[in-house]
Amino acid sequence: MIEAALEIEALKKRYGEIVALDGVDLTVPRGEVIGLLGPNGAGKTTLVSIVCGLRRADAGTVRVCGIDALADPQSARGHIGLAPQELGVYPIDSVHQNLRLFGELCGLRSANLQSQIEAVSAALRLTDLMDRKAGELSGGQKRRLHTAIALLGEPHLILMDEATTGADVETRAALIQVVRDLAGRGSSVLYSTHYLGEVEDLEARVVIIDNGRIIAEGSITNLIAGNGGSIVELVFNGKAPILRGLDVTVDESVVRVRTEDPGREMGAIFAALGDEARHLQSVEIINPSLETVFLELTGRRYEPEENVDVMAS
Amino acid sequence: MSWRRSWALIRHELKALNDDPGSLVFLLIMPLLMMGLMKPLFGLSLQADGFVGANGAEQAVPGMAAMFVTFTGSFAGFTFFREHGWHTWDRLRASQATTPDIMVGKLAPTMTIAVAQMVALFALGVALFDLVIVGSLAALSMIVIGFSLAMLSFGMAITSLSRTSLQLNTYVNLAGIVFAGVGGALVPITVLPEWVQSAGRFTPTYWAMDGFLDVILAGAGIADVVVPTLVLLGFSAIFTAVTALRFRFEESKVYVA
Repeated sequence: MIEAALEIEALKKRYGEIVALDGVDLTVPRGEVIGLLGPNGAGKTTLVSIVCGLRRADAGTVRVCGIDALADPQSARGHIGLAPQELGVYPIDSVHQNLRLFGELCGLRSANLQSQIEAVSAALRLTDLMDRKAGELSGGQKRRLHTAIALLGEPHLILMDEATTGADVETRAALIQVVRDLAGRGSSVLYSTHYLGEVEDLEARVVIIDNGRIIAEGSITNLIAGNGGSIVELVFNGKAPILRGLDVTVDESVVRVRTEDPGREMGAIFAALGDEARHLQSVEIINPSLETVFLELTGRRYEPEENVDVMAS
Repeated sequence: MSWRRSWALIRHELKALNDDPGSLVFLLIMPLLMMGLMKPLFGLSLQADGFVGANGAEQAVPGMAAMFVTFTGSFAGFTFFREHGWHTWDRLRASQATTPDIMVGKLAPTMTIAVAQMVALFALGVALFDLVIVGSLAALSMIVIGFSLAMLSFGMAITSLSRTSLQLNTYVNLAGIVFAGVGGALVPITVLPEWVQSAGRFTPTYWAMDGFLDVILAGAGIADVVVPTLVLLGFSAIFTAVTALRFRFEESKVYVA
């Protein structure tokens, strides 16, 4: 049996009183892309950092291609390519010098090193920028170089932590395509992001993490199918009224109505509101998506920037 | 440990240093200017101490070399802060380079530069300031290497205790001046009060100057500089122990440009 690229069991991590990871179980099969989705502070960066040995876990196990990454992080790193959250390139070095340095640190030499540099620079459209200093590149070009470094040495497991933060539309599309290509060539990718749309674009298996716990995982289709249909969200001035005869959840001044057909349900909603409709501030129809899945599972809207990332603090 | 990976990092560090012409001014031109300024004064002081033929270069050259190598000690620490500033530190740690690979890759260039700086300053001292080294060049080299090592490990100890690059600069500069002052590099130790001379013994600079002056003025050989060399190695061991206890690879450091 071929072992998974990444197997995590009961992983725990605290920063003082803050629980960053609270018993995470996660498997990334070989050749698969997993979209690790969660708001800032959910525990994504902590998880990635522990897998590549940058942080110590409090408890649990992490195996990378069968290697115990907590006991032997050095061996595990031989299988990992990391693109950290922060753009990490040497601004005083050219694109080629950056790639060469990290290629050499991967253990690549001579012809193999050169062919790897050519391959990743072509994939990330850096070929024409090889002699340009990284400090002189645009934000999107830097992001592409940053990602290219992670691909050197054809690692079995690629960890991309918020890979498209600050990237322009073109760069974002290019990075998504690269991730798809990598999976097509047999690499496994753990793609951490707080952008719902990216995971939908990747058509990847989704793992949703919130407050250090995995709260859902599966294909986007299954997650949406298993977590209700559309939601009509009503926001009121002041406390929300009680709506009888509808499938609703109430959160202070917000009422959410679950429905399969929002257009048809609207009449019933306004009939139930009666005079209370004058306190209505806004109405929003949220179509079935990862947004409604998150809402269904946590009882709150998906706010990517809702917390300060524990790792960044 | 992989020498190839260390060598890749060494090349990278040397290139970074080469790209910054300001460092050359600091490494060579500043100490040379100071030597020129201080030489006549030191000449009078040495003659008053009984070294009749002394021209002042005997104190000015090793003194200024010793003082400025102390500042060079912070270069190694600075490279760690720079990695944090460029957000490459985690990337480096997540690479296949081991801790020894990274430490050798970062520290070997600074050690080389410190030794090269002292050798160049002594050579320029001979050429420009008529420095005459009466004793053994091998003995002089022992002190140069021992002192460079002590200052490199001192810079790393301060790095391990500093959260920001500003702290590193402040502490190393302060220590550099204090060490040079009480250690007999900035002024001849004999003109200092007795209590300062006693306190000076607790600085590496004192032992470096003791060895340098023995070789330059008294014609000392290898056997004569064993004690100061061992003391300098002892300082290195203490500073390295502090670094080993306090340096945290996962600690976030703040780079202030």
